[in-house]
Amino acid sequence: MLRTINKSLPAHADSLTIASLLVVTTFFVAQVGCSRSLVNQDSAHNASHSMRRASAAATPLQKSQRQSSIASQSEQTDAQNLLQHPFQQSPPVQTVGYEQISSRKPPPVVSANSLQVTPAINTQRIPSHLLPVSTMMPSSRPVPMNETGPGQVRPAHVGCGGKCCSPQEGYSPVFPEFSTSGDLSNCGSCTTSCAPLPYPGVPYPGRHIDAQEFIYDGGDRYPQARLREDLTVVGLDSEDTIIRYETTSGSVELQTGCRVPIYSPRFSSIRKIVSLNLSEHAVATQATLLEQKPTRVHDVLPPNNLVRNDKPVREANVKVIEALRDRNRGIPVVKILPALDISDAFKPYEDLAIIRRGEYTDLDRPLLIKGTQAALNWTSVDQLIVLVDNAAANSVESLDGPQELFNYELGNNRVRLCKVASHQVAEPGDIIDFTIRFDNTGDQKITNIMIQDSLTPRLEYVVDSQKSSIASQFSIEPNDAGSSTLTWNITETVAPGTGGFLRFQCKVR
Amino acid sequence: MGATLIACGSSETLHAQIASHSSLPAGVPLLHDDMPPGMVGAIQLQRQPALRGFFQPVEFRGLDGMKFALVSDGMFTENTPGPARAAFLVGPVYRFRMTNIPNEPEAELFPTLEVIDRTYPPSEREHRFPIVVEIDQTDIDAALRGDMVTRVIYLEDSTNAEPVSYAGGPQRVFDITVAEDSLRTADYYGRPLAILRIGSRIPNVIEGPEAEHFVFGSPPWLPIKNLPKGKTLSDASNNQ
Repeated sequence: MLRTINKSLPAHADSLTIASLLVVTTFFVAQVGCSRSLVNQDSAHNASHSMRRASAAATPLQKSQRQSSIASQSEQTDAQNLLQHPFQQSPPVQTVGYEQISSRKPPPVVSANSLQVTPAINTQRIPSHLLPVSTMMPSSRPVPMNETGPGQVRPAHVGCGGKCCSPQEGYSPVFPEFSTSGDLSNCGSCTTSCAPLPYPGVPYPGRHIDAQEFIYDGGDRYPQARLREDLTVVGLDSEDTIIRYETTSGSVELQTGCRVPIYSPRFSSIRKIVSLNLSEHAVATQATLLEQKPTRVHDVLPPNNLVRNDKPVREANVKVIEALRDRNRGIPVVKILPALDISDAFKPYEDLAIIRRGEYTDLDRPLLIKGTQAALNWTSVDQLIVLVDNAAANSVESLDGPQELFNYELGNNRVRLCKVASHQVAEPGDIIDFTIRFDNTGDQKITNIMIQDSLTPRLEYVVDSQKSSIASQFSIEPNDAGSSTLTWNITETVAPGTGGFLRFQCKVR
Repeated sequence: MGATLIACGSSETLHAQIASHSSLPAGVPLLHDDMPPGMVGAIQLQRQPALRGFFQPVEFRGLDGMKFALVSDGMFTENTPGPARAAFLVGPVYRFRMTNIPNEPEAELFPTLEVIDRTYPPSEREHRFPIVVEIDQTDIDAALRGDMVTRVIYLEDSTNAEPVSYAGGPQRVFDITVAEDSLRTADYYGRPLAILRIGSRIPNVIEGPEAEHFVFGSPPWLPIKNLPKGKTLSDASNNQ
């Protein structure tokens, strides 16, 4: 992710870039595959799923029984053929606080100057008890299936008014947290909703994500940001966060940082109202061209083939999306902040060594995962690991596979850009704090630093919320996505080994 | 000159009509919004077997004071004021009842909900992000007038979402004409999740096969307890 205009890349950077591209491409394909196309397409996942299910040798009779299982049907139980519910097999997870983590022997501090990124080959996982989050319940439970064995079909679920949970009968709670004393009660004497235990032959699809349910900020979307000859930046899309700087040797470079996902789905609806007089609805203008001929001999008109515009009979009844007119653009403002106009107190989500001192330590791993990519830590797709000096380091961050951790770059005149967010999930209206940490990890001073963050349309910058730990000029302007592009022009020269951080707030739309 | 203007006017109208439809993907869509209730969900289950047996949390929102009642074992449950939450299977059709409609004390509506896809929230936070099914005054008026309202609730693509904030406000609704397909339009703007159909049909009988057919066989559902915003599901289960 490193681009320069007057300095060639080092030899090892090519392989590094290719490796990063491979991982990013894999991640992109994984996201696109789950994005959409309900009407016209079938995903490969479904195809493979169908093949595996077909191998389960389900006969048409079984299929019909399976479909009719939603309705009331006699229960056919064979508990001996059932495996124990994975939810019951899962060992209890003990949530360990940070105090316990910090009481352990502190791991060695890894210098950020010698970190690089490579696709995961031999992933070394962090023991789960080290992480301050407990995700074994209910994330590890499988999706309850209707099939309980070859030829064994039970009611799909017997929640309210039905059977209760009985492992001997092959039932277990689906959502043990969902109490029947909720809003929609009157569920009879059953106190726990149950579902049949899954049949071991039914493949468990695993955890799945949909990129449309996330708000992303940071990174560099395609098309990638690039520097033009006049040193302006092109290709800055929404969600992108880039840093442009100049070294003492005169080269101007552009670099991107990590990508922060925040789970925040937003729902809308399409409404169509059909009335009984449907046939009388006008859907198009019926303007016609009528031929008009002279009616009298002395009319001074051409003999024929004249047309006139007949009055439209009806108008096109096409409704427009009125809400699109509510585009809420930010007001461009320019504000110059004095140096060090930022609080010394760090917020909990950003109180990390990499933010405070620019050092990457093992102690910060859980929090860093949580702040950067923890929203994806329930997935188990391809992931990145961090190597130190081309050797497998201990800094492999994964509970169950965050897909991307950092974009560390090696070499001289390099800048590291790290971004963390205060929330992993958010609802419309919530305020999210973002912190961007940048460090000069090279051996030369860098000047004329410009950091740009183009916000996604679901994020709205909170006016006057930005702070900078270093002298900078801040400006904001609307971007093409309908949100804002935040720009910090660092006026100070950043020496090697030093850096600064920026902080701002956004409101989720 | 006159002929030129006429030609231009007709051309613009034609272009407007084409532009209104050319944004949708080409091809013959497999699913339509005028399919019988349950068919879209059945096709979805056939195409995505992993959706079988999954209970998708849904939240009903209505006008102030409006109450909802689901069907359990062929009988409507007690009325629950909105917002009411429950988890529904993907695929079956659920009949529910809306009462205590503002300015319509005698009226009752019996819409149906068909969940056709699921969401993938973070673990232990499934309760925080249900599919929001919101019924507004336009829906009520149209249904009481005898019209058929079809609403396709979809998940917005956050990358191309409209840069408009409606936090705390009503859900965004796009009205389309009868010539357009709401399911296909929703698929263009995001990922369709549920189909809400509101008509003026009321049950004629309360027992027998016809009544069972009216409630679509009383498919199972799960009640969901409202949890505080900051709590996770495991927190709630540990307290029980």
